[in-house]
Amino acid sequence: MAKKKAEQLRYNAEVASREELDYLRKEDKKRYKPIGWELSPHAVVEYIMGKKTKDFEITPKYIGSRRKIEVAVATLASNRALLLIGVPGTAKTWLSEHLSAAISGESKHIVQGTSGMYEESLRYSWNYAELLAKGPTENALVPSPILSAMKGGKIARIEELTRIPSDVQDSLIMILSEKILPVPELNMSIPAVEGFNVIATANEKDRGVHELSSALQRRFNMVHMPLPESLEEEVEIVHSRLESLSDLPPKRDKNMIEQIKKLVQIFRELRSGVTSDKQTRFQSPGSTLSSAEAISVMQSALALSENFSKGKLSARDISSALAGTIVKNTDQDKKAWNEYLELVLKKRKDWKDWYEACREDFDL
Amino acid sequence: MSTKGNIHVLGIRHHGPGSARSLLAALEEIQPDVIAIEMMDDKVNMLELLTHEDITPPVSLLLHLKNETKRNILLPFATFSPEWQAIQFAKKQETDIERIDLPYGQMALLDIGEELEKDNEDVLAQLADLAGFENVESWWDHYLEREGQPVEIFRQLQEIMTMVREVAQIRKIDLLREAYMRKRLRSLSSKYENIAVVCGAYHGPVLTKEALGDIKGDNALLKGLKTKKVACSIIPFSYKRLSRISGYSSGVTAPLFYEMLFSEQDNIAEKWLSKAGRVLRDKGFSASVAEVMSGVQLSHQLCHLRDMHLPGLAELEQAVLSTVCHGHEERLHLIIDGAFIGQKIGYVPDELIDSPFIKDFYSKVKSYRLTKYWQTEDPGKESKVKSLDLRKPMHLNSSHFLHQLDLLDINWAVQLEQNNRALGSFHEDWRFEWDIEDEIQLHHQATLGATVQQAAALAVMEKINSPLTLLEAIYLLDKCILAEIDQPVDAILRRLNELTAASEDLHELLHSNIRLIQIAKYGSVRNTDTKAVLKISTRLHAKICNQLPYSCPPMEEDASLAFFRTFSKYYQLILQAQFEGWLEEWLFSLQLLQTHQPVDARVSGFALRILHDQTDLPFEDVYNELVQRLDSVYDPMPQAIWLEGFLYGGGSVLLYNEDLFQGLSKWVENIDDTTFTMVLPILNRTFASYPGKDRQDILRKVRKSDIRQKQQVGTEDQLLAWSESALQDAINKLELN
Repeated sequence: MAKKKAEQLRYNAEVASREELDYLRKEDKKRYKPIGWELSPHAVVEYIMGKKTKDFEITPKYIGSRRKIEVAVATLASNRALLLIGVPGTAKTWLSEHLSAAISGESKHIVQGTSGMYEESLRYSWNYAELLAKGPTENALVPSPILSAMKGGKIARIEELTRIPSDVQDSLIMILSEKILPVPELNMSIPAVEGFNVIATANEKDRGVHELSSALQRRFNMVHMPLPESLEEEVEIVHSRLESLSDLPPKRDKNMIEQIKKLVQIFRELRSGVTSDKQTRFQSPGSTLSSAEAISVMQSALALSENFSKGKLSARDISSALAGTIVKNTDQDKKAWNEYLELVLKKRKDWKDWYEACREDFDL
Repeated sequence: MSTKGNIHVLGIRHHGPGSARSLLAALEEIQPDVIAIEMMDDKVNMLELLTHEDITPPVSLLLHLKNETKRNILLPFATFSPEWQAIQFAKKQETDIERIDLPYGQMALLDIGEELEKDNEDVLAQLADLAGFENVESWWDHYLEREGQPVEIFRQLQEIMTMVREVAQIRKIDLLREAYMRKRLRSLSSKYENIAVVCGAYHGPVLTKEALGDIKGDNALLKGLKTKKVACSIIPFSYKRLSRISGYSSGVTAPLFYEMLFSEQDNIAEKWLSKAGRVLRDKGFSASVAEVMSGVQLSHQLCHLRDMHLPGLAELEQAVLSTVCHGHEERLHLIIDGAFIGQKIGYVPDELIDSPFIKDFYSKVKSYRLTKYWQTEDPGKESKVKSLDLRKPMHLNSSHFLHQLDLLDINWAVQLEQNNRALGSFHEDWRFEWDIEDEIQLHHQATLGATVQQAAALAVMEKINSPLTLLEAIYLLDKCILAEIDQPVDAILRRLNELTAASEDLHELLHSNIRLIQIAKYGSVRNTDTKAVLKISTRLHAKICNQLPYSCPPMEEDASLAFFRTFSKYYQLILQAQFEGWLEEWLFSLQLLQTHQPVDARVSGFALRILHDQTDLPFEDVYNELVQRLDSVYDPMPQAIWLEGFLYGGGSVLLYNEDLFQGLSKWVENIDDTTFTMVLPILNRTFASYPGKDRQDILRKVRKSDIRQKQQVGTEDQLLAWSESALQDAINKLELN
C-alpha cells in the first residue's frame, strides 16, 4: 500500500471490493440470477467465503461456516427478509454490508436502529418548505433509506432492529409482506421494485428489550451468527481483519501470531469461564468479549508498539488496552479479571510476561 | 476361471433410502435369477422370518451363539433398508435369494473383538469431510442417492469405492468376509446365469466377476475357521432405537425422514416441513403455514445453491431452523423426536415366536392383565404405576412374576421404594416403562429356560456361582423369596454360610443381618419356609455380638453417623423381632463394649442408654458414667457427640431423673459461649428428634429449674437458646408437613 494523503477513513464494501465484484460479474454469466440481483446466489457465496483461481483471488470476507452463509443467501434469493442475530462482534453488520454490496451493488441504504426512533426513519418524512408551498405532493416526500431501496430495487439494511420501539418496528410489516409502502396523505402507495429486500441485524444481548412482534418475526428468516468455533479460526479472523483495517498492517511473523493467539485464548477463556484445557473454572466478566474487541485491542497495541517500542509487539503493548476492554468499570469485572490473572495466568510458565504486564496495569 | 454367471454388483448403503430406490429399479432392470445378499450365512431361517406376511418393519433379527447369549448381534431392518427391499422383491418375483456373508457362528469366534463394532465408514467419513459435508449421510444423500439411471449409479459408485479402498486400511474381518462372499459367489455362478449381488458399497469392488479368480488365496484365508451353532429370532424394533444403535449396521440419524424419502419422495420438503411445523405446534409454539411455506422456499433455494435435485437432511434442518424455529436451536431439539426420528414400532406376530420361554412370558403378561403396559413406547405420557395388594392371589402371582423379570435383568417394571417397607407390608408399587431394550433382553434370556420362572432360577444360579459380596448374596436371597423361586435358595444359603464366615466388616454384617431378619420375619407373609434363613441370621447375630466390643473404634464424623444409623436400626429390629435369646446376647455384648475403650463416642453413649433402659444397671453407675464423661477438663465436642448417643432413645430420662438433668445442666453451664455455638448443632439434632410433647416438657423443666437457680443467668440464657431453637426447628418441621 502506497503512502496516502488524508483520505476517507473507510470505504463502503462495494468500493473497497470493486475489483472482486467486477470480476465476479464478468465470470458469472451462466448461472441463474434472481431479478434485480447483480450476481447469482452462487457468486454471492463465493464473494463472501472467498475463492482462489489461477489468475484471481477473492479474499474471504467471513471466516466460519459456509452453510450459514448459504442459508443467508438462499433466504434473500427466496425473497424473504433476513435477520442476523448474534452477540456483539460476530460480524453481523459486516456481513450485511457485504451481502448488500454483492447482491445490489451498493450497501448505502441503511438505517441505524435506536430507541428514540420514529416511524419517519423507516417510512418517509416531508420537505416542509415544499409542503407548505404546494401542499402534499410526491415532490415534497423525503424518502427514508428503506423507501429509496424499495424504489431502486435494492437491499435495505436495518442495524440493531431490536433497539427500535415495537410500534415503530411494526411499520415494517406491510413493507415486508405486501412489498408496498402506503402514503395515506397522498392517497397512494409506493410499490417496491424487484430486487428489494431487507437485511436486519439484532443483538442477542438485547433480546427481550423490544422483542419482535410475532407478526414481524414471521416475516424474517433468522440466521444465528455464532462466535468463532476454534481458536485457530478466531486467530485467523483477527489477523486478517487487522491486515485490512489498519495503516500499520501486522507482520506475519511468529511473534505476531503467537501474541494474537494468546490474546484470543484469553478472550475465549474469559467468555466461557473455563480454561481451554477445561481444568480450571472461574468467574466470567460481564463485558462483551468478541473477536471485534480482540481486534480493537490489537489495533491499539500495534500503534503503541510501532510508536514507542520499536515495532516488536510485546505483552506490555497489549495489556493496557486489554484491561480497559475487560474491566468496564464494574466491580464484578474487576474481580473476575483479578481472579483470572491469579488463578490462570500466573500458573502458566510461558505466559510470565503477560501476567506481569497485566498485573501492573491492573494495579495502576 | 469358468464361471458362466454374469455378476451385477449393486453396492448399497445400509439403511439408505436412495439406495433402496435405486436398488429396486436396478433389480427390475436386471431381472436376476438369483439375488446374492450380504447377510450372514448361518444355518437359520432368517429369510423366512423376514418374509412373513404379517410382519411390519422396523424389525430386527437377533443372532446369538447357542447357549451363549452374551455373544450376539442385532440386524435391524426398516422399510427403507435396501436389504429389506431386496428380500421383499425376491419374494414377490419368486426370485431365488442366497445369503453370502461370513456366518455369525464363525465371525463371533474370531479374535477381533472391537473391530466388529467399528464401522468401515471411517474412510468415507474423511471423504465426506474433504468434500465439505458434515457427515457421511449427507455426502451420500448428495452424490449417490439422487435420481438417475440406476445401473449407471451403481457403476459410478463402484468406481468411487475402488478409489476409496486404495487408500483405506482394510480390516482383517472385512478381508475374511469378502473371501467368504467370493467363495459363495463362485458356487452360485456355476448354478445361475444372472446374479445380482446386494452388498455394502464398500465391498463392491472385490465381488466382481474378475475378482473371483484367486481361489487359492481365498481358501487359505478361510482355512481353519471354527464354527458354532447360532440361534436366530426376530423382534420388533423401533425408530428410536434405530437412530441410536451404532456398530455393525450403521445408525441412522433420522429414520422418519428416511422413510418419507423412500416412500413419498415427491414434494419431500413440503411434507417434511409441515410435519415439523405440526410437531412444534403440538409443543405449544406458533408455527404458521406461512412459515412452513417460507421454509419450503428456503430449502429449494438452498438446493439450488448447492446444485442438488432434492433437499437433503441438512437443507431441511437449516431451513426449518431459520423459519419455523425462528433461529432458536432449542426448538430444533424439540422436534428431533417427532420429525427426525419418529416413534414407529415394528410388529412381529405371535406365531413367529417359537421359544417356549417367550410364549410363557406373553401368556403371563396376559393373564396378569399387564398387556397394556407392554410395548407402549410413549415418552410423552407419564409411565404407569400399578399397585399390588399381595393378599389377593392374582396380585401375589404378578408380584412373583415381576420379581422374576427383575432377576432376569429385564427392567420393564421397577419396584418403587416403599415409604415404609417394614415387616408385613402387603403392598407393592410398580412403575412400568417399556423400552425396546426390554424386548431385546427378553430374547437374550430366552435360552435360559422354558418358563420365566425356570429362566430366573437359572439366572440366579449363574450369579451365585460368580464372585459375590455378602450383601449381594442376601439381595439374591431376598429376591428369590419375593419371586417365589425355590430351587436356588439352598445354594444361596450355602453360599451365605461361607460368606458370613469370611466377612469381618462389622458394618456390613449389621447391614446384612438387618436384611436377613426382615426376610425371616416377612418371608412368612409369602408362605416361605424361613427356618433356614433364621438359622443363618442367628449365627450372624452371634458373630456380630462377638465382634461388637472390639470393632467400634472412634470413627470420623460421617462414618460414625452412618454406622450409628445402622447400629440403632439393628437394635430396633432386635426389639421388634423378639427372637429367642437375641436381646440377652446383645446386652451382654454391650456391657463388654463399655469396658473396652476407646469406643466411638456416639455408640458408647447409646450403649449406656440401652443398658439403662433394658437392664437393672444401677442408676449410680449411669450417673457416674455421665459425670465422668462430661467432666469439664475434656473437649466438649466429643462430649456432645456422646450425649447424642445417650439421649438418642428419647427425652423421658431427663424428665424423670433429676440427677441426670442436673448433671447435664452443669455441663452446659461450664461451656463458654464459643464452644456452645460449636456443639449447638449436635444438641439441636438430638432434641429435634424428640416428640413435640417431650420437648415442651423439657423446656418447662428448664424454666422451672431456672427459677430455682436465679443467680446463674448465663446458664439460663444458654439453655433457653438451645431449647428454643430446638422448638423452632420442630415448628418449621410441622409447617413443612
